[in-house]
Amino acid sequence: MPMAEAELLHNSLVVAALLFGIGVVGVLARRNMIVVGLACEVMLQGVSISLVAWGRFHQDAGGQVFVLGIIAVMASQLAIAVAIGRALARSAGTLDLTRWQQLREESGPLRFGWRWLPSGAIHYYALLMVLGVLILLGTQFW
Amino acid sequence: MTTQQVLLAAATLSLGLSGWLLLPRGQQPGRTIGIALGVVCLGLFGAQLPLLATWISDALFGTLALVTLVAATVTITARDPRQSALAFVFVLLGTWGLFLLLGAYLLALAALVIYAGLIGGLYWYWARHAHASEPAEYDLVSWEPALAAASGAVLVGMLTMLIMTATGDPETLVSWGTDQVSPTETPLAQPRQESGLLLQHSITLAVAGLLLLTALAGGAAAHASRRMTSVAPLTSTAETESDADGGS
Repeated sequence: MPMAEAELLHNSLVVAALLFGIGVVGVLARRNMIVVGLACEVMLQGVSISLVAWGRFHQDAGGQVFVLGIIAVMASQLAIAVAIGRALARSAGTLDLTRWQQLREESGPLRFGWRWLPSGAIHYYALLMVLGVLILLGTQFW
Repeated sequence: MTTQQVLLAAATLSLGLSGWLLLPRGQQPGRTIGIALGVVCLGLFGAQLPLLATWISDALFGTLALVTLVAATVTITARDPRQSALAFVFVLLGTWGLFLLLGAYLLALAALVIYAGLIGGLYWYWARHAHASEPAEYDLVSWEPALAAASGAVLVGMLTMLIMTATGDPETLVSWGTDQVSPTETPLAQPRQESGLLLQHSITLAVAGLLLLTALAGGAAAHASRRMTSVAPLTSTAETESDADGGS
């Protein structure tokens, strides 16, 4: 069956970008440790598809080797994360990530700085990312 | 602005709105509208994709991509983590099919065995034991869903615009690091990439396998440890400590 390589690469990259974006939303928004881990996996699936597509386009197995490394590292990470998370869930009784924040500064739970802007660093990061990408989009469109 | 840019902007906007409406937001309505906007978003993105060589390859790729993307959306928006884990298995199956379509047979086999067998099983086992009853409060309320959905949508819009700009021009593709761009028509899934894979990258594969084995042993050891019976106070506030004590 013939296949147009450039079009296949294009479509695969678009699907990979969508998968990565969906995973980013899950990591930023969800509070359950299991779901955040799954969202990380979704992001890595997007990266894997893009690597394999580029490897096929370049007629090279390097992309597949990268993905094999990703699979091994993620499986290793998840094996440990599942064990630690299960132990924490058993002792603390919850999988809420907002409950495990011993490393952050002593500011109390979810205190709000301004009226509309929460104090978590991840929100500042997300806001900066949105603003930066909006500026880039604006320069591309107009 | 060209028609393609307008379509891309509309797709990005519908993606952000759909993500915001689909994420758990307590008792607030809008999930049906979110599903409808998600369908519109997929249609807009799909309308911009170029056709492959034959209708069979188009149908195969479209079906696999649709299954993967819908399952990924369900994975991050489901209220029940067990549903997320099951949806993630479909993400793995869709990715496995895409790997096959891209001619990566060995990788598809590895992904199927390792991901679907190990990770999917572990997650489903963990979710089943951690949530025996109804979903918890933190599964029903997301962390800033509007901001997260906007971030993801803008990121996807930017990446897609970059991809469409670059891959639409063959000269740009060549400049992205290859001087061996393949001809436009090659046999699908030609088994050319796996022939020397194990031999050329045997050390990499060995290190990856050793890492996986070590982590599995460590995970099993951590899981089997019975001395982890208590944790430090979770936060400094009395409210959080009372929640933790009540939960344990």
